[in-house]
Amino acid sequence: MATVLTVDDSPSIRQMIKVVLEPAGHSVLEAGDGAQGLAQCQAKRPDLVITDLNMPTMNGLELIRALRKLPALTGMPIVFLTTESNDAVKQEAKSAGATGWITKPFKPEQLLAVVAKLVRS
Amino acid sequence: MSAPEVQEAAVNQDGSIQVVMIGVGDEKFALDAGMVREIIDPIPATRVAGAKAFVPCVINVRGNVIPLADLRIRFGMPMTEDTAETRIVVIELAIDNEPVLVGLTADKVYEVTEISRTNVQQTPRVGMHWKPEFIRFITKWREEFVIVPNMERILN
Amino acid sequence: MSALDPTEVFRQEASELFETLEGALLDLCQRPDDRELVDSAFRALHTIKGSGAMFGFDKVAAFTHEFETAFELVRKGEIKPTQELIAVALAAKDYIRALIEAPETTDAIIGEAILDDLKQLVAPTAPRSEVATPATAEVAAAGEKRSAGWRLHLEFDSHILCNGSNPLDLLEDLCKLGPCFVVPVTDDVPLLDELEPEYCYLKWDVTLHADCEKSAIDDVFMFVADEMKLTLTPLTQAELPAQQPAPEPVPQTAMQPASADATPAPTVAEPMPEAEPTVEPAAVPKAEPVAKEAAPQPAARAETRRDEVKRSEERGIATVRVQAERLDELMDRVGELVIAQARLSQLAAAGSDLSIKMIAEEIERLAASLRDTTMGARMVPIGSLFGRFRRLVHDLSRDLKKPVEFVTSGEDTELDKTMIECLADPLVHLIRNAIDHGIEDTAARAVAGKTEQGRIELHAVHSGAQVLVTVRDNGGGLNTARIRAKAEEQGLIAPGAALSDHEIHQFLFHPGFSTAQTVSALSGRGVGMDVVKRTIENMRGSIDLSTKPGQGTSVTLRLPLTLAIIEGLLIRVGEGRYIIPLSAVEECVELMAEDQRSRGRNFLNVRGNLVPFLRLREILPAEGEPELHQKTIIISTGETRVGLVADQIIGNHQTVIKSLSKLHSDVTIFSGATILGDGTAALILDVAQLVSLAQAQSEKQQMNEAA
Repeated sequence: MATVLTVDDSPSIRQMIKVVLEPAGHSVLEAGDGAQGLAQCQAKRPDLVITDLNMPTMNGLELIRALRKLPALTGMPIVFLTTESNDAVKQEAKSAGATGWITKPFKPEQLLAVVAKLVRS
Repeated sequence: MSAPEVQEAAVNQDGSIQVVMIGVGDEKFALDAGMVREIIDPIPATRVAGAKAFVPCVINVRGNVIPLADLRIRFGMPMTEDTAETRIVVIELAIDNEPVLVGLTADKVYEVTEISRTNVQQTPRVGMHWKPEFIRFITKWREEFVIVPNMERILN
Repeated sequence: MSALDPTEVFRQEASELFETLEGALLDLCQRPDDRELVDSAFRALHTIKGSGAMFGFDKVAAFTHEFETAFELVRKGEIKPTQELIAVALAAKDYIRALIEAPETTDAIIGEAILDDLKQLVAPTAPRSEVATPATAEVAAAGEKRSAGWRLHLEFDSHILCNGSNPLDLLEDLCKLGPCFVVPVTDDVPLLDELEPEYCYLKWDVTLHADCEKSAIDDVFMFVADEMKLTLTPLTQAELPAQQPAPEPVPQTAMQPASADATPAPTVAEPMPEAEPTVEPAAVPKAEPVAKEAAPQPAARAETRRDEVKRSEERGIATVRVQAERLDELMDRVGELVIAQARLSQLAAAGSDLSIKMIAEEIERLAASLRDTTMGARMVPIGSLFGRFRRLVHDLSRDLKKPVEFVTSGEDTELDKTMIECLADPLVHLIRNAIDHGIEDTAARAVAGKTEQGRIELHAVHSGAQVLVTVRDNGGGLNTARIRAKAEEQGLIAPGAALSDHEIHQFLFHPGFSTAQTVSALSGRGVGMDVVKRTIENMRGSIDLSTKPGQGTSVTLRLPLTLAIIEGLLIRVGEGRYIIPLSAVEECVELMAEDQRSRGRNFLNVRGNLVPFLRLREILPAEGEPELHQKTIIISTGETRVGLVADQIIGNHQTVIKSLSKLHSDVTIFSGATILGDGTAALILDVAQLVSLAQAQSEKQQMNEAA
């Protein structure tokens, strides 16, 4: 199954993603901010990145932009988490290069559906 | 280790109590078996300066440093040398609602037995020179009077 | 694998976030223009909101959202964070915290009141317009009614592959809705030398034979709606035969293998796996491999990046959350190991087996480093504690109308986590005292020619094996005369007794001693200086108090680094062996004959300084004759030095501290016990007690001499 990297400064969200995805057979990597996320991506090349937008050190948008500049990771799906219902945030993240998004709060099924949608075996 | 209430743990349905019978000086004490944790051979004890006279030492029992109490001192009995029959009885009692382990020096440990509450003797014997609050009750065992002590009171 | 409950993780995380939030808000009081602080406050709020909603704290999410909205102008920099605004924000923080910690007993009215306050402060705000322009694709005919199916035209932006979306996956999803007839449109595919391998040039025409909702199709393209043109036309029954004359109109026949012909011939794709192979030949051939493999890009750039990555990766795996009890258990096990190792070393030393000796040494080394590692793992920066006091100072300063600047330093100083917990209450008390009694009111400060704003410093620093935590105020200093009067009134000293200022100040630590003329609501917590002192001494620490009239008071707590295992000096007095905490030991000297002789005058000449000393044989049970060459161990607490005379110094000892039983709670000169290599118990001398004992003794002698 897929290797998914969750980038979030909130340990509870990371844990939530972990307890949803791991039983479904995915392996979950964790990073606490954008900079760690970037490092993990380069080191581990996950099949999917799920990142928060609002983080210290390097925020989600910066992470997405940085990842999209890396030729080695071209085409890696990046999903961002957002609580905003307005479109401006989504637009910004999308134009930064995000593949999709998950709106918080989300249900486990929604998370699994997004992973299934973006990662094919 | 199933003694939720130390003092009352070993009371059977018919009112009999399981006790550990020990000898201290020329008295016999029946310690509620529920409070007895273990019985060990004498080990080197460490004197504690400034401690109450009847808890003069500490000993190491399985990695715990616990006080060693001497009831002979508490009751003004003459001190004797340790003999081959001397034992340390480790009991657990509650002090300020916290479980505390204490070692008691016993000149002899007789046996684990049952005593009956029906043989309870109401009045302290003549010549009992210690406070009634130290005694839970007095009963008969093999035609002898034995004291069931209130260890919390005695040690506190 | 640990399956931590995410909700529990959230609670823990939330409490950390509240500290961050509070810290940022309090800092904003001082530096209202600091954008970083505003951002950090918002980030914390945002996480609380987002995670709160995830874990079912709906009220938290709703309130935080309102709060965030109202605060938006601050974030935009349009409104300055005034003191009032920050006070409301702090109240809001407390409210959110209550919503998480005690949701049942938290009244929504409080929240409403806070929001009202907030709205007034940020005043005429333009109503936030939530014009959520729905993310819709270009829909030609928006016929929502069900039909026999849909005709779709798909054009993706060329960069869509780079951004992680795969049109083939999307087509596959589409096929899941019903039988699809997929025709790639290759018109825009450039010649090979112009072709960008990572771009998507293909378009698709799809006929979907399923009477699904339009929304189901929108769902498929949800993420890429902005990066594509989707033309959607309902397929009517009537249209079917007419528009679909081509190969086979019936889905079943679509099972036939696609023609090997690579030309864009119309092919019918079955829902699942067939979809890919049939479309594949027409897809840009290179797109896949390139996307998955590293393109040979400038090596230098990759190199430097890798370095950065390495560094940040090191940070990435730097922390693990461990339950506190597990650390306690670990420390207990290490303690047992150290005791067992001491026994082994003693046995090995007594024997003659060289290889056992070597193993014993090896284990000794390992046990020592395991101990250090374990103790290190329990170390927490004291800053985590300091944060809490800023709120305290802020509130006190407001309530007492004494403007106070609160300065902290040494937040990185690490202490055992149990000590940090134990320190909270004493420090609260000391800080409260400093503001309540230390700092003068504004008028008095003006008279004294001082700045209007008082200053409280909280400072931590390592000093050898100790940590010093100092609370200092620049207030009026202790009123020695008043303390003295109070002590006389309480009958603690005879009127007119000759006492040094230092001695008089010690009465502050006396139980029930308070010079505060009015007991304010703030100091009515029932914790007096005596409790502070006891708490600190229970931690094997000590308190120094120094004051300068008109300039302020400083209280210094001296604390050991850890509560569990210490380095000790093992000594012998008579037959007994005792431990002196090595951190208190300054030096060891031989007791000289002249010192010996000066009976009654227990002073030791240490390089010209007279140091009072105690003969341990006189206070500890000791049979037999004293050693001819007695040793003196000079110990110190703070400024005071005292000599302890023992029969022998045996050596250093790793001391696993065991507390004394309640039955020995009346014992003062020992702070605990430990277990020696031979299995016997040894007592640990209480340095602070011995020092005051020695001082009392020498004072008595001086008085006797004077008499």
